[in-house]
Amino acid sequence: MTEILLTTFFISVLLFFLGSGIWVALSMIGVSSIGMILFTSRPVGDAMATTIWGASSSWTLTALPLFVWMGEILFRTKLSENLFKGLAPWLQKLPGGLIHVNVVGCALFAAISGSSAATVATVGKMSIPELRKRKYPEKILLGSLAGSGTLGLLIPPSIILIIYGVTVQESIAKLFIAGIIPGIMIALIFMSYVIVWSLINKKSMPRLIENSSFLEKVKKSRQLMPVVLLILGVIGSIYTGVATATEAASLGVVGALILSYFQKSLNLKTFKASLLGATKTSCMIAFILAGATFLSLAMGFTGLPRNLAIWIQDMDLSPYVLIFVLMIFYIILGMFLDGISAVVLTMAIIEPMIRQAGFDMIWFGIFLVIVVEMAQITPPVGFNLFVLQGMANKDMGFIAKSAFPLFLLMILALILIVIFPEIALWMPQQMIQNIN
Amino acid sequence: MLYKIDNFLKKIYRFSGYIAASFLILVAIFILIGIASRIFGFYIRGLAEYSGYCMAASSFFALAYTFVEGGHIRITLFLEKASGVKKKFLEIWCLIIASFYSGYLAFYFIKMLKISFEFQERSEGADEILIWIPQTSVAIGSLIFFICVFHQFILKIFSRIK
Repeated sequence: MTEILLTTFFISVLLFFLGSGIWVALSMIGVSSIGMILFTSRPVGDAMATTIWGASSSWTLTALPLFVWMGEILFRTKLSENLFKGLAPWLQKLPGGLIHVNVVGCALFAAISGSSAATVATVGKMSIPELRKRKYPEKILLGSLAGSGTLGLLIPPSIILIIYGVTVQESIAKLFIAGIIPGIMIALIFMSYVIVWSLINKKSMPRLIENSSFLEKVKKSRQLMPVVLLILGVIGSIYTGVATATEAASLGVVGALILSYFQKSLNLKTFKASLLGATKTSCMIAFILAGATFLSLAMGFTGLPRNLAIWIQDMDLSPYVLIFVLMIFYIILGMFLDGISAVVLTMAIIEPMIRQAGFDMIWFGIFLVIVVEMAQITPPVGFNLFVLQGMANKDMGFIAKSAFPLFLLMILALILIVIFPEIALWMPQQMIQNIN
Repeated sequence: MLYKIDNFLKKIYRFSGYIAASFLILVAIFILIGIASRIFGFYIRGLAEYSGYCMAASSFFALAYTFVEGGHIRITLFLEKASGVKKKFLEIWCLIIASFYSGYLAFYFIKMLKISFEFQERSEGADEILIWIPQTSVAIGSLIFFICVFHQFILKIFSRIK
């Protein structure tokens, strides 16, 4: 009985710390030390120092700053311009016209950046003014952008998949490869939605087709080739097992530097800005991860994860019900927390339960990331909404409403992945055969 | 005088941010050397460990810099809604707790460093380096972080209510 009381107290303090605005990493460190004092007689501070040191100096973590840096370098090139110019001639003939540039542009940028906010910002920088000039309806313009931006999380490289992989100790390379097909699938679902929407709302869509020959089209998209090669190089080297995720990331940094040098956007100022940006972002994430390892140590002493796993097992739920409950849980959590914190805070409790229930951890990672993607476009806390609010000068409610159909489509994608787990697992399985 | 201290501290945070950035470059270099070593068939002991240490050094040296730049994540849902005295009160509460736990972290990192140094402990990895050498970075980084958070706390107390 006292154990339940103590656990309740422990969780309430955590929620109180987080809710009152204490920085997430420090909240975790604070609550964990309180938890350790309550549940064990071990020396708390020393355990904290060794745990955090061990986690922060681990080699697997090094993929993180490098992928962040690669994205930061490319973010400062002429990429957003090239994406628009290169994609527009090919996509304009589809029903929905240039709106598809949002979806395809986001999917492409997602393959070099691991963050959803950066994806929205890069693609939107060019596509919002250009599409407005051509009088596309705001609703589909901003909705498709907010939704597709979330692909940044799923299509590798993905910051959140690195974090998940480090937290549950699964192969980051496999997680990356597992994200490819679901990512492309969601992009195709979004494109179908744009087509259907534009056929229904034919009257409000502008009709402009700038005719150009095949050769002209190729010429216009030539600028995109180096980026596409970089993407194929990074993901291809992971898939074939030539390089680990970390090695691919460092090669990606070199490739990005070369690319931005040839595009004449590399100078001391952009180099410094990209490096400091990457330093800040990876520090923020590494600190949260440090707090999270301490939290999962403390959680272990509370017995909560173990009891929860046993409890769930005794209830004898069908896996579908369990996954459904988890989906609802993460959607609600995602309304108030950013994706990284949501994953890191809960995995200490959820992991034993998921393993107990017999789910594949790679599959669950992909499932989790799609749910976190959905959290990016749900108010009141949704990062893509924040970014777009600033860029498009529209209020958050409007953007959230425009993106809501895409939220529903992501639920559809989740259902597909639950029914056909092979969507996520087929490629990693091929990869294992490749390496052996 | 106070103004001078304030400026001096700000410079330290920025400087430690630059140190962190240099360690990030080192992470990339170590990994690139690792790739090169595999291609050309030479072997350097403990490269993976070294890049891990640089990662830790980069993360902890950047703590203060990231903090003043507002880079650390927090839930601002209620903080944004509050105003006036309430907001200042809430901010001070956050900074008190943050000061306490960043101090706690710094204290135990320094203690860990001291123990590693006294016992001349070595890494268990292939590098077999004296472990206090890389641990110095997290001790210094977390100490600067504590100073930074406490500094912001003092500034907040004397700030005017908007």
